[in-house]
Amino acid sequence: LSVDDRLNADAEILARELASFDVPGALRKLFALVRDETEGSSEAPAGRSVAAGSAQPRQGEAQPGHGGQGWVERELALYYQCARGGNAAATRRVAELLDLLDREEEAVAWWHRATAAGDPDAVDYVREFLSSRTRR
Amino acid sequence: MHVGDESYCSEDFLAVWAALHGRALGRAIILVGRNDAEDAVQETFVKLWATWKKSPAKREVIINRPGYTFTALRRTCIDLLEQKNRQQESVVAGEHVAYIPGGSNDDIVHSKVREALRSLNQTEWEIAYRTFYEKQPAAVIAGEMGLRVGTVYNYRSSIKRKLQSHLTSSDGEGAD
Repeated sequence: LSVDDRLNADAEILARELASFDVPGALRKLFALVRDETEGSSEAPAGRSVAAGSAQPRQGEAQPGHGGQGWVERELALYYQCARGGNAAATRRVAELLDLLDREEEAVAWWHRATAAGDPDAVDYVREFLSSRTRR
Repeated sequence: MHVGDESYCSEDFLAVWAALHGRALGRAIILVGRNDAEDAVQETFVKLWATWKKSPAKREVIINRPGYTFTALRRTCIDLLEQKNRQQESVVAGEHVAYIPGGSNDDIVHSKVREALRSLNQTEWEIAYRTFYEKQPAAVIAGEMGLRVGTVYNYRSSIKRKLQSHLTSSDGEGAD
C-alpha cells in the first residue's frame, strides 16, 4: 500500500474512533470549569452564552479563521517579541509570516536565524527548499 | 467588539474552543491514543484558558489561528507521552520500554502510520493531519495556519518523503 492509501485508511479508522466520543458531554464539563470560575463577574453579558451541547459557536460569535493583512502584521509584532527572547519556534513563525507578506529577503534571513536557533521545522525547511531558492 | 481588546470575555473563548474541540480530539487520539486523548484535550483547554486570561495579545492569536491551539495540544501530548515513558521505565527497572499509545485493535493495526506521524516536526505534523485526516486543500491550510500556499506545498513534499522513509524502515523491522 502507498503512503496515501495507508493514511486514508487510518483517517477512516480515526473517524470511527471520534464518533465513539461524547463531544457535547465533554464540552459541557469544560465549559462548566470556566463558567464556575467567572460566575458572578460582570464580564459575560447576557445573550453571548455558547451552547456547549451544540459543539458549535452561535452565529455572530467569535470564530477561528485567518483575518486580513492587518492581523498578520499584529501577529508578526507579537512573534518578533518572542523571537527576540530567544524562542526558536517564534523565530520560525516570524519567517513564515514574512514569507506570507512577500518580504522574501527578510524571510530568508529569519529562516536562517530559526535554523541557527534549532527549530526542527526550520532546519528541514532550509535544508530542503530555502537553499535551492537562495541559489536561484 | 474589537480584536485584542479587553472586551473579549470567557464566552468568546468558549465559542472558539467549541469549534476546535472535535478537531483537537482527533489529533490527540493519534498522538497519545484513545485512552488518554480526552485528558490531553482537557489539559490543553485549561492551559489555553489561563493564557486567554493573562494575555490580550495571545487572545487574538487564539481566535484567529487554530494552529496555535493545536500546537499547544501537541506539546501537551508530547509531555504526556514522556511522562508515560518515565512511568513505564520505572516499572520495568533497568530495561527501556517505550510507551506506545493504544486503545483498540485499529490502533495496533495502524500503529506504524501513527508512529510515523508522531515522528514529524510540529508544523509538518499539523500540515499532515490537515491534509490526510481533515482533507483540507493547500489554500485552506495556508489560510488557517497563516502560511504562503507555496510554503504548504514545500512542507507537504518533505512530509511525504519522511513518512515514506519511516514506514519503509518500520515495515522492514516488522519483516525480521
